[in-house]
Amino acid sequence: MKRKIGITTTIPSEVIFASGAVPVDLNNVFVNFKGKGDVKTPADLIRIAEEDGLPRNICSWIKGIYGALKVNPDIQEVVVVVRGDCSNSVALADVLRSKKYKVIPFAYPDSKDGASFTQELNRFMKHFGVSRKEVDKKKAELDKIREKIFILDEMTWRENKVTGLENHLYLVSTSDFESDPPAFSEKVDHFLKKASYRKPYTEKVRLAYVGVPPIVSDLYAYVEELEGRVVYNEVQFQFSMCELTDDIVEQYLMYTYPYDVFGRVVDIKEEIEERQIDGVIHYLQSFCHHQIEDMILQKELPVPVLALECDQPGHLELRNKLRLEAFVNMLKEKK
Amino acid sequence: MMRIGIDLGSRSVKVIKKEGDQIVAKEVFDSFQFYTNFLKDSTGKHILKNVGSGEVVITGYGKFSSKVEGANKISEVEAHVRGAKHQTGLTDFTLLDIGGQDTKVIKVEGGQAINFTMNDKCAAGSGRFLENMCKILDVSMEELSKHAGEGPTLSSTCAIFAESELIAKIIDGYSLDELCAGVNRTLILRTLPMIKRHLEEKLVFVGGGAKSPAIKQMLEQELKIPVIIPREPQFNGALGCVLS
Repeated sequence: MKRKIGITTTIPSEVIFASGAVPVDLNNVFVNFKGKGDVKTPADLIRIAEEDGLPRNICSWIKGIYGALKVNPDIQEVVVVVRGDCSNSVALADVLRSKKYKVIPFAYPDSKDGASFTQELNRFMKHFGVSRKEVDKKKAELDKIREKIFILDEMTWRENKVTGLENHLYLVSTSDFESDPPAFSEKVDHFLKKASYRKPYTEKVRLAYVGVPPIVSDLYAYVEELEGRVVYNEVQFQFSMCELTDDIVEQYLMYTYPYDVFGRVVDIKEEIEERQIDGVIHYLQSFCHHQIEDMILQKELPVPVLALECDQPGHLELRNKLRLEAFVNMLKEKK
Repeated sequence: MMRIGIDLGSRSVKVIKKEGDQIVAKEVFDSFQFYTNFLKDSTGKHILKNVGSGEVVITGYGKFSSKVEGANKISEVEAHVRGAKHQTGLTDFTLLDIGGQDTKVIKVEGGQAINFTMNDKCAAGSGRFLENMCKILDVSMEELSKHAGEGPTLSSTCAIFAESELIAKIIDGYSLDELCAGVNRTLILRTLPMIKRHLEEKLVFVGGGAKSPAIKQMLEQELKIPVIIPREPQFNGALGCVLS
């Protein structure tokens, strides 16, 4: 069995794959958790973390990652992104160290600086004992899958044959390629074929979903019940790298999520125009520092923005259903 | 034809009956009583009974779980904008609704909602906050709503923590008048950032919160624009339901 390396968000997974190990995105393990023994749901993973002492008023993703590790003892090494993702991850890294996990910190540079990123990448490659040549080779293999994901994304907004949820699930999986790139690639092929036979969706309102992926399971379906459809998942699309370049350093500098919000704003604006988007759902995780960025997105984006805050995994709360309904209806009336 | 509009709110349920152009009946129910007495069948499923014949349009929280045969559902934003336009004759305004658990601010231009914001997860900017503070101070909502002077504001972001903070202010020796004014001022401070995001030249103020003269006075002082309270602020959403 291959050595499993937990990851807390998207990192240059090429490096881990090149070493013969596989990355496991712990966020996906948490939110897709189907039960193991007495631990039955993602909410139970949060409970485990709180019982161990993680505070009530801390982001559920952090506690979910912690819980996911506890129920998966085969993962003992974790790459924690300590700059460019989440400030709570820094403390999580220390907690994991105290629990004897092997923590491999990874830091995106403060600004999009090629020299700094190269230095970090070199350190990361050294840790995994791989050369740049081996990493580049692995990148070329993974890029072939990413290209298929781009087709899936285009089928979402141009051909209108893919739901917001499907788009989210496939795109979000590109952080670790479900730990098995060939199998994931086949799964994508199969899906693309199936979706190509569909009749195009004819939603009344086209929406963008921006911000970190949702912790709740029914957001996309509920939007579709309201005759809307998410045709753009910002951060998930970024996970897939959006546009390819052979140079891995350049690739991860083009990736907007770890850097300042203004790069994200430029990217989102372009997509709003190209995908003919009527409104934006800005997802906010309770207790997350990204909440502060809402004021910038509200001001900069050219279409109405709904700030939607969620806390726990499971279904949308009534109050959020109310907000989504009012938002989608308002956009319908405006058209 | 008779039309019935029901605003199934989190703290109270507002019902309006309209025949032709005339409002023939209106009533407010406590939400808990309403859901228990009127909205449950023998299996415990929510179902609205005894509404008589006519078209029923519902809005508010409760509509997600209430099954009313043949009832149309409209969103709260839509209901409130319709109600406010009808009651004021205005087409360009900021609409503030302070309800039981939710406060919303809607920007209306050319008669249409073009954007809105609702309060975050905490109830500290809503009617529920005022109710809880009344309990601590042992005053009625009517009494609380008279005080718009100076008073200590509460900084807690949580409505429950604000209760302990208020008790500390009582111990500090503030007068009842000052404490009431401080509670009202606290609600205003929670609400202003939302209003300022969508500010037009006029503010239409609806919901149960609009029954407070102190809140109205403080809003006018802070915003320096006319604050218009229509004739039926609490029934605004239900009224929006019976208008076509």
